[in-house]
Amino acid sequence: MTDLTIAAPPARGGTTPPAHQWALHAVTATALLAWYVYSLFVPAYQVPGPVAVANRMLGFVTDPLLALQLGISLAHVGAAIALAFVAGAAAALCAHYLPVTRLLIDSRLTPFLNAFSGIGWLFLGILWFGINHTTVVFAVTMILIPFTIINLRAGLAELDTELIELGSSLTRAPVALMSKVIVPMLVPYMFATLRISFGVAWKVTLTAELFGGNSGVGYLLNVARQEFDTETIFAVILFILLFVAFTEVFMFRPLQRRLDRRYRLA
Amino acid sequence: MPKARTRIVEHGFAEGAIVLALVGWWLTARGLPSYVLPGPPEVLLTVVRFFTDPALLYHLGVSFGRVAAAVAIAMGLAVTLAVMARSSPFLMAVLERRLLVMLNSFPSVGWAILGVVWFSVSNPTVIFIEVAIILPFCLTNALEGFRNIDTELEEMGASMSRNGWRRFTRLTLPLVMPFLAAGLRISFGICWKIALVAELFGAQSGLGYLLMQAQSSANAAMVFACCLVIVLVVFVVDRLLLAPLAAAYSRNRGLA
Repeated sequence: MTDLTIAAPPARGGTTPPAHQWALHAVTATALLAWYVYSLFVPAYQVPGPVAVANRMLGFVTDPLLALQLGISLAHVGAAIALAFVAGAAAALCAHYLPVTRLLIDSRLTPFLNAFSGIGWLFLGILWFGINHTTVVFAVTMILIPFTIINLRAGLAELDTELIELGSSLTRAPVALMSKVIVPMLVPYMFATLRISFGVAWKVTLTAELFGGNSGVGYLLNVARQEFDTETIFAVILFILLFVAFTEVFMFRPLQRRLDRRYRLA
Repeated sequence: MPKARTRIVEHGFAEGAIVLALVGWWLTARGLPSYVLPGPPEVLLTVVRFFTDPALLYHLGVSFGRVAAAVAIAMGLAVTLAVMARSSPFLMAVLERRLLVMLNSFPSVGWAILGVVWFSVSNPTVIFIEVAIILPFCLTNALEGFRNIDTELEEMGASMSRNGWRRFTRLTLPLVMPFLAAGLRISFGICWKIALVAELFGAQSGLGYLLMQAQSSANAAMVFACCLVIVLVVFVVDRLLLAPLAAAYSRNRGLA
C-alpha cells in the first residue's frame, strides 16, 4: 500500500479525569499570563498584548466587511474539499473496480500527487488563472486529492467481501447494493477523509489566499503583514485556532463517537 | 501464466497513460506561449540544469540542508517531549489537549509571518518556521509510539539491566522506531511540500526563493522544474532512505 499512515485518525487515548481538566485550564491561564507579561517588555509590533488582540478580535466580529472575508475563506475551504472528494473518490473507485488502472493510480498517480509541492500548485495556478478564487480553490484541491485517494482506497480495500457476497445474493440491482451495503461500510473512511481534509485545507488555504487570492483571511493577513499590523496577524491566527478547535470539539468528535458506536463490529 | 499477463497489461496501461499525458502536454504546449505552458523538452532541460549548474545546485542544497535540519530538530524535540510525558499523565494531557490542539490548527503561513516579524530573515528563522509546521506530525507519532510500548517487555528489560540509558537505546527506542520512522516520512514530505513557504518570505536562497523569482519574471519553465525537482527529491530520499528504515524496523517487530 501507499506510504501514509494517516488512513484513519488514531483514537484519542482515554478521557481526562476532572482533576486534570482544572489543571489544564490553569495551564491555559498561565500561558495567557506569560504572554501578557512578555508583551509588556517587547515592542507591540513584535508581540502585542492579549488585551489589544482581544479588542481587535471583537472588531472583527462586529465589522461585516471582515466577517465577509472569513466567509469567503470558508467558501474556498468548502469548495476545495468537495472537489477533492469527488475527484479522489472517482480515482479510488476506478482503481478498485477496474484492476487495469490499479497500477497507474496506486503507484504512479497517487505517489506523484503526494510528492508534488503545494506551493508548486499555487504558483502554477497563479500562472494559469491569475490572482483570484480559481487559483486558491485549484491549489487547495490539488493538495487534498492525494489524501482523499489514499483514505478511500484504504476504505475500499478493507471492505468486508463476505457482506458484499451476502448483499449480491439478496439483490441484483447494483445501485441497491452500492447504497445499502458498500456506501454504509465506507462511511467511517469518508468521515476520516473529510476530517483530515478539513484540517489540511485550513492550513494551506491561508497560504493560497496570501499569494494567489485577492480576498479571504489570507489576503487580510498579507495586508496586515505589509503594514506591520501584528495585532491583526495575531487576531486572525487566534480566530483560525478557535474555529478549528471548536469544529473539532463540537462537530467532528461527537460525530466520530456516534460513528464508533454504530460501527463497533468486533 | 495469467498473473504475469495481467501484470504486463497493468504496466502497459500505466506507462501508456503517462506517455499519453506527456504527448497531450506537448501538443497543448505547442499552441501556447511558454510563459503559460512550457513544453516538456524545455522543462526537462531546466530540470537537468538543476544538477549541472552550480548556482541552481546551491539553492537545492540549501533547501535540502534546511529541511534535514528541521526534520532532525522536530523529531528530537518530539521524542524528548514524549519521553517526559510517559512518566507524567498530566504532562501528557497538556501535550495532547493543549499543545497538539494548538499546533494542529495553527496555519502554516501564520508561522512564516510571525517568524519573519520576530527574528528577521535568516537561516535559523527558516528552520524555526519549518520545525513549527512539522512538529505536530512528529509529536503525534512519537506519543502514539510510546503509548504502544509493551510494558511487559520493559519490565523484562528492567530485570536484565539497571542502566537506564542502555535500556532506552536497546529496548525502548527500537520499540518506538516504527512510529518514529512513519513520522519521519510524513514530516519529510510535508516539509518539502508545505513548509517551503518559509522560504517565500524574503529568503535569499533555496527553492522557495527560486520559485518566487521565477514567478515574478513569468519563467513558467522554472516553476515547473522546481516542482519536478521537489517530486524527485521527495521520491528518491523516501525510497532510498526512509522506506528501507521503516521496513527494517517493522520486520524487527514481526509485523508484515
